[in-house]
Amino acid sequence: MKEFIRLENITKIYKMGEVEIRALNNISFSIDKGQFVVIVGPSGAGKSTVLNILGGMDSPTSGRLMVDNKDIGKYSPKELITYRRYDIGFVFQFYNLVQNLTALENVELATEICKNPLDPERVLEQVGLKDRKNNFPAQLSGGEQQRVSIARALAKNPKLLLCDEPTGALDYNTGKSVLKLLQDTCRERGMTVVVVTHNLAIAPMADKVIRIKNGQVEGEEINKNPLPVERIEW
Amino acid sequence: MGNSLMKDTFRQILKSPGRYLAILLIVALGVGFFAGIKATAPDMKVTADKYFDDYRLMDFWLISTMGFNEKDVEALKRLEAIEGIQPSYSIDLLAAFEGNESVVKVISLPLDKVNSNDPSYINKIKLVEGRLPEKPGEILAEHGNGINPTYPIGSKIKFSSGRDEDISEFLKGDEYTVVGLVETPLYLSFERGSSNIGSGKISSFMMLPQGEFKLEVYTDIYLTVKEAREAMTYDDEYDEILDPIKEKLEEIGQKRATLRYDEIIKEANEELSKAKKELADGERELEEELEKAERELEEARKKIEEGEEELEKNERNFYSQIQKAEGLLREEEKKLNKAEGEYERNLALFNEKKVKAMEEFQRAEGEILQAEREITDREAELNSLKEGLSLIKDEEERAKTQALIQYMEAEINKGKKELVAARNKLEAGKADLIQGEKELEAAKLAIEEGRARLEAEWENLERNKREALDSFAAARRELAQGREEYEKGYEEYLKAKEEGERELREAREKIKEEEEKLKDLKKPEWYVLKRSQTRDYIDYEMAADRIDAVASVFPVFFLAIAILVSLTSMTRMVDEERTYIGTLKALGYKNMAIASKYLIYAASASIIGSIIGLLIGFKVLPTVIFNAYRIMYIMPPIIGQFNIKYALVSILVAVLSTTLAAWLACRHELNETPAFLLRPKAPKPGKRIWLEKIPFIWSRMKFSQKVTARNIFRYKKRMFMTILGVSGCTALLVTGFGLKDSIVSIVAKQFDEIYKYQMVVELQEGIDENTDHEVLDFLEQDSRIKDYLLTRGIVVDIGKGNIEKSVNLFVTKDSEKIHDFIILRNRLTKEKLSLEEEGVILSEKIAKLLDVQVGDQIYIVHDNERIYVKITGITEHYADHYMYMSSSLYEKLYNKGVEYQRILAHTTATEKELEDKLSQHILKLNNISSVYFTTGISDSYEDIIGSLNYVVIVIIVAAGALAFIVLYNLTNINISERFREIATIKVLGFYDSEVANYIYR
Repeated sequence: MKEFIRLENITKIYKMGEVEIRALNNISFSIDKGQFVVIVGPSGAGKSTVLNILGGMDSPTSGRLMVDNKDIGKYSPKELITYRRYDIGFVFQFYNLVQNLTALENVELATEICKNPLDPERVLEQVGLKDRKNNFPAQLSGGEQQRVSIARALAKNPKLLLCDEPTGALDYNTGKSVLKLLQDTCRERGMTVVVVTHNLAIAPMADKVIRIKNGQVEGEEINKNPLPVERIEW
Repeated sequence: MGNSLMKDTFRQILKSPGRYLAILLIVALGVGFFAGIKATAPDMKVTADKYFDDYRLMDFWLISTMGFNEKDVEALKRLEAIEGIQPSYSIDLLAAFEGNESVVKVISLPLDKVNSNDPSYINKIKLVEGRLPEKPGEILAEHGNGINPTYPIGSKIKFSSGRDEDISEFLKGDEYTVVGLVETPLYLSFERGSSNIGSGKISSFMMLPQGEFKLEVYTDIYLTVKEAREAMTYDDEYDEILDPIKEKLEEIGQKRATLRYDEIIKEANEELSKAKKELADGERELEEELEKAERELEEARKKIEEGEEELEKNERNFYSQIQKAEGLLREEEKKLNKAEGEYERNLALFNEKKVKAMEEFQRAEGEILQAEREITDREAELNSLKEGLSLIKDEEERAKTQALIQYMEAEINKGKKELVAARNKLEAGKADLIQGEKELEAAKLAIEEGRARLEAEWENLERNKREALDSFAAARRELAQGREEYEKGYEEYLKAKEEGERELREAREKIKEEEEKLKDLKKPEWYVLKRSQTRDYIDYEMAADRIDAVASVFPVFFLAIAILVSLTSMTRMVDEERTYIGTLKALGYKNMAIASKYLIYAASASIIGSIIGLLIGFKVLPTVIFNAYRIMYIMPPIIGQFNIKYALVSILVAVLSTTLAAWLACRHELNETPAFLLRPKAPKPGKRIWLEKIPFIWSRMKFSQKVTARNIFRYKKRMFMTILGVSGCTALLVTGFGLKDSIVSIVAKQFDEIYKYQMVVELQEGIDENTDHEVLDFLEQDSRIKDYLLTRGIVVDIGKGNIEKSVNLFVTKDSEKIHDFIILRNRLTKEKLSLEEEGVILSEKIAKLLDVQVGDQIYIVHDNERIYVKITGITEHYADHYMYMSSSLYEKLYNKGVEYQRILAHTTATEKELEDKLSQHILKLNNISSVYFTTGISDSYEDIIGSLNYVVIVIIVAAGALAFIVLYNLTNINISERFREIATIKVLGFYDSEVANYIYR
């Protein structure tokens, strides 16, 4: 399969006052289209930074980032918005739902600005929240909220689905069902999914696992036979 | 912007209305206050305009030094721009009611036009209570503030003129009953002006039908101008319409004044010549009469003298005649006496003879008797014989006897014959005697007769004499009476002469006086006053402008604070929604779309707030403020018009600024990468603060104090805003109170500290210091006056460079004594300034306006020329502009003596009663124009300030509300922002009070 995403020598430096923090240090890897990729590493290794840069939510300090043959790294903030709008679906660790909107409306919030979105209600149905679509986030459990979050990301019909610790705030079973949803989406729709986690146990279900430590790629491994979520335990 | 985002925005508002409302309210407050106060002045002016239009307030008010006659009115009528013209009367009279006597202005009312729409009915009245006069003896009084009119309906008012002339010279009646209470646009305030009668202060106005007046000329003419009513009265446009007409009116005035002057002169001259003729006639008449009287008197005198002379002559005559008569009588008497002597002699002779004769007679008679007896015896014998005869019958015998008888008879007869002869002889002797006796008797008788006649003659003479004397006496008496009468007549004549002469002299003097008066007669002068030159009109405008002045500072403050508050609120909101913004950004929302939420939030809050503020502000503030003013002004309720200009300005400012605040608040966040936003915001790093570098302070602080200190430095922006907001509000509050206090104390300062005098007496004509004057005597002697000072006050223009201002020039006679009456001192050093001879002292404000210092030269405009003078001092002063000058400098500059016409005086007390009495006394003196007391002035100042107080109270209340909202908002933000911190502290086991302590610091 051809390379969908390619990072070349990406470096990200945060300036906190006078202190420079080198979050990413010459990182390079690539992801193919339709792959389910898990990025693992200890806390503070730079996983989220990678994901943010991938999602166009942050710009690299230096290096090249090619997504679908486009040099995202050189995008202006405005172009980045367009990129995020049409190409990226993002699932956050803390769901980041808009509290004032119902589940359905939260999904609609995303679909309204897309070119060819999926039907929000269908997507919600798919994530198993048909009955809860008119509830406000505060009325939903964590797993349900995360599913709304996923639905919101999916409904945009993005090229790339990025998930930042999607199970981080969830219990075991709920986490599993969320992961299943992601895996199924990847498999069924051929969507490229990147999941960031510190939970190594999830790694076996991925097509590709990228290990990051101290802002550098520690190892990359391709999983020829990824396990279905059901069989993973941690 | 998408539908969902919209939904979110509204849900956001609905779910947490507190913040939204806070912004909304503060904007409402700011806008309402700004627009409300800003609109008050225009609203007041619009209200006034409407009121003036409705009640047809005059555009021009003409007064003249000699009144107006019909010809004047006719001349004005010819002016085309004039719409209506109302000649009118007004006089100041003393009105007695319930034992009080006060000065009222009685104004004429064209009763026939009251209910018509005649354009020549100007200054319409508003009948508030009662009815219009229907018959003579009825009058309208002023309604006043409506609480308790001085002259309620039914009051019987007795008028007196308060001048030398009788009331009947002015009005048809002198007692009137109040039948109605009215308002007039002529009087907006309760100040009625001053008068030169009674107490000098007009207390009220009244209106009488025009027909009740008996004045020869109109005192006032009111005019309205075509199209002027369409213009707003306080706008320049109005003045632009009026100004050219004013010029024309003044032209007419000058022309008419000349004509009128000539007329008056002619009339007066005619009258004078008539008077002169009368005088001449009188003189002649008097002369004639006096002459006649004199002549008459002279005649009378002559007659009396003649009478006296005649009397004297008569008397003389009389006396000589009497003397002659007496002489004659005396001679006569002498003769008589001689005759008497002869008679006496004859008588004695006779008596001798008589005695002899008597003896002879007796003897003869005896013989006769014997003879008779013999005869008788014989007769008896005869008789017896005769008897015997008859008895003798013998004839012889008888014959014998008869013969015997015969014999005998013959014998007897012979005897008898002898007897008879004897007897005859006796008888003849006797007859001779008797004859002699008879002759004697006749002589005696003749003598007696002569004596009787003489006596009668004497008597006659005496009587005549007496009678003559009596008549003389009578004549003398008469003469004396005549003389007396004459004397009286003469006296009368003298008196009449004197009187006549006096009268003539008086008449001559009067004529002379009149002539002099005529010589002094100044040309009548017309005063063409625009309505904008009338006291109340200006007063009201100034009131409105004062509000405007307040409006120019305070509301801006308000708006600024409102913006500040909404900025903090929005910043806080954006901070709170950091993740939300990040999420939206991650979803691919554009910055504008995200920002629009906050913009809409802020804008909608501010728009709604503005509208609410405008509605309330436009309605409430002008009404509240105006109602406060209506305590001082008689005006209809305010017309709260929607002032588009201020509405737009305030909405624009409020909306733009709050939206801008929102934009500023989220701009920073929007520029961040979503990744950054999605990370929880790193709390501001705690920093060491400079205080820590001072160990002796820092080490002494408790933990909580240290935290507070660090927090203060940590949230600098917040702290700054809190300080700014609170200090702004405090400043507002302080300014509000301060404004009130300062104005009040300015009056107090001016009238307690600067002006030391209590009474001012204005003279009609200036007096120079050397002449005696009734007033000065009075002031010198009256025990209620402690001291007084002669001054002159005129308004002059002074300037420096190209700035020119009007000031009150104050010239005093006594440069030393002035310090007892007016304090001249430096405001800062309180150092006394002395009135030097070479320069003037200026009041502080005018010095500032002219930008001059002590030692600078300024000029005074005099007769279109500039006189330069040095400033020797600048004095503390709070009201109006003054320039103080010594009399010697005045004389030098103006080249003439000072005519003092204002007297300042110290009274012993300031009770109203004393002041009233004193002013009554003084007004009775000559040459007094008015008397007033500083207590009265400061009272009226305090009235003005009283109304300003309301405005200040409104400001204070609003500032308080603002302060509350600001603090509420900021504290709220402070707490919510440090929610976690508080939670942590609570978890650590702090008590609530300690937590509260922790936060509020």
